[in-house]
Amino acid sequence: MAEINVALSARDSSAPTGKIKLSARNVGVFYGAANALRDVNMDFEEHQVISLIGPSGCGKSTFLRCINRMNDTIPGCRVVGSINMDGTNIYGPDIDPVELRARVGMVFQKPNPFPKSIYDNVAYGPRIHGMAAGKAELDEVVEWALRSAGLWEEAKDRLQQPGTGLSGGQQQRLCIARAIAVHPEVILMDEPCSALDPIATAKIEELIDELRRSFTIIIVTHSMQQAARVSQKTAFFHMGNLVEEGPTDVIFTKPHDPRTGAYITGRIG
Amino acid sequence: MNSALPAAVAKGPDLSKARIKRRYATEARFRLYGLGAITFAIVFLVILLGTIISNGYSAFVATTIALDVNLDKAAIDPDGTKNPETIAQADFRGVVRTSIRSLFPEGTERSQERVLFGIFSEGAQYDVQKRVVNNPQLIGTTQRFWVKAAPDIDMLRKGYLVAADDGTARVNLTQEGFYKRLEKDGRVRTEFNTTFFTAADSREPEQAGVLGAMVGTFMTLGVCLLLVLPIGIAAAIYLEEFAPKNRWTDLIEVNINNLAAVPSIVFGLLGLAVLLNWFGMPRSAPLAGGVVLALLVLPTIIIAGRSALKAVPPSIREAALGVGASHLQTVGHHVLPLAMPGILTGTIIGMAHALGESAPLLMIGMVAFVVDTPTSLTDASTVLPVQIFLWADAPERAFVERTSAAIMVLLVFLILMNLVAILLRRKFERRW
Ligand SMILES: Nc1ncnc2c1ncn2[C@@H]1O[C@H](COP(=O)(O)OP(=O)(O)OP(=O)(O)O)[C@@H](O)[C@H]1O
Ligand SMILES: [Mg+2]
Repeated sequence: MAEINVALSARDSSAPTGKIKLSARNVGVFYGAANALRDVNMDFEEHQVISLIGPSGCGKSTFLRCINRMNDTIPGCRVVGSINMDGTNIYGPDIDPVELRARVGMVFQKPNPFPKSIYDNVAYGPRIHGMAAGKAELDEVVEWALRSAGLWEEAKDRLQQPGTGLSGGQQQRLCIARAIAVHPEVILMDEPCSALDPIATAKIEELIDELRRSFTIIIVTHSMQQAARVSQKTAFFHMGNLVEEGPTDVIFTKPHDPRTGAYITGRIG
Repeated sequence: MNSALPAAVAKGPDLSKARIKRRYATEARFRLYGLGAITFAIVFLVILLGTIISNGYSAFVATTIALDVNLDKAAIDPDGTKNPETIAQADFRGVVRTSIRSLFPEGTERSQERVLFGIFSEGAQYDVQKRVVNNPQLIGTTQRFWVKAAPDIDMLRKGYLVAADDGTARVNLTQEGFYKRLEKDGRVRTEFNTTFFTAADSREPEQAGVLGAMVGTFMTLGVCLLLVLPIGIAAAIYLEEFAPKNRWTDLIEVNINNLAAVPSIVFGLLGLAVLLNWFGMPRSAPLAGGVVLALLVLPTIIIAGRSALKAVPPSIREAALGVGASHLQTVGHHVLPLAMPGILTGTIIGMAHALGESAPLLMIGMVAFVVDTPTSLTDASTVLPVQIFLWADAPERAFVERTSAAIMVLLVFLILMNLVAILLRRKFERRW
């Protein structure tokens, strides 16, 4: 726990550094024979929020799942190319995908807390990774994760109640707390607000901005406003291709590709 | 869009009265069919249960007759040893007969004595013997014993027999006369038939009970459950979660589904050939019976287990994998606990199925006539459905009611098991 705090504060002080956290090279994905994603080349900087946008079915989720090798669990799915994380190919032979997923956390579209207590939801990751030595340390981790996810005040008096009893927005923040409890380096979010109302969405967006100080965040979203609000960098996908990527304000004001402009202004979707 | 509406679209939906009326009529008819089917099923169920209960309820009570037995020291323990073994050797048959004779002090003809003795159960002397061996201080006193009536008298009292002197009736008028006289003296009463629940099988209906079969059933089902639960769950988890999807696993899946439909007697033949002849397991024993039943219900439990595992939503798996749980951890920590109620429900229903099986057990010799309650898994024993089968075959009228009573006991167990299954399902209704 102490180490975590040290690591965390070390990272906190180092706001955007420009250091490349992840770089995708010629990434392609096949579901059986269908080529769902082609030749994606893209870099992700540390302590940035990067949003992936594009019409439905263009391969955003598919690309996101490449980054924590969640695609490995889908039968018939094949990934080509390489993704380097801190200079190491995560598809390399000596990378254990299970361990990788502890370093690259994920938050899903629909809040999916375990049907267990709030405490156990957050404590699950630290437990299986042997992070805390004893109950006191684990309590500390849970509190830290819930605080970081902005849920502590609402949840501290009901830690032993089921996580499924929370509201949708609270459940999603619980899922974020669960993801950050193992202290990943990167957090992937696949449309984390699509099941939430505007107020809960605003809370999560605030939270994302907050979390950026400690984590690198890649978020898939269908809301242009959300992409504009939370991300520093935006990538536009279309029909399995990465069409264009760049600083969010550039993408939204002066896109190079006509398809990007058309999508942003609502003419294709 | 504006000019070329397809003709069908332009016409719009047909909202005519006739059409709506036809729809209502179809719905009403469908409901009627459903009601008819349910009524049909309920009527048959009621007839079935009604027959069993009306045939069997009387087996839960038994006729007993008060007998004042003079526990004569000279006859039982002349040397005053008070040694249980010596006492057990005594002629209790004679003691009981003397007491029976004394019920009719005016004396009976010698030829009628046999008829008189025939009113009482053959087991009466053993009741007396047992009590005296356990309480030697009773020797020398006269004690009242409520001894069981002979089955024919029991049937006469319950109204299943009519006495006659035509030579074919099981009770003649003389015997009925003796019985009527005892009844008038207040020596006859009907009491709860404890023997039925505390004794094993017997040739004498009044001494026969279901305890032996019940213990045999518990042992057999116990063996079955111990085998089926771990093997069934492990197989279901492997097939559903870990097995590669290829031609071999497809073949295994098809075969498991087929096995669930194989006639149960085939499993009995398998048990006979493999367990008894090859592995040399004891015949008629709960051990072999449990293994055979385990083979029989295993496919059902694997199928139930797989569908319970499949019903766990993928979002839970993703959540666990997403925080870095391994596949086995995901299954062990999340999927299996959520699937467990479904697996247990399937298991209980499988066990209820096993509880009612008799055919495969007949094949491995569990049809033997066993008078002792089994005490170990290798003792010869029988089970409830086989006991029912045996009694249904017995010619005595008294076994007819015992057959139905044993069916009732079996049904009670079945209902209890299904109740547990329902409660489990209620308790763990999906919570995600
Ligand atoms: N498990 C799968 N098996 C086969 N094809 C899949 C699978 N998942 C996705 N696809 C296909 O891959 C393509 C990209 O899908 P993906 O889910 O990445 O789209 P998306 O951009 O996330 O869309 P949305 O915005 O609707 O979520 C689609 O054509 C989809 O049909
Ligand atoms: Mg998607």
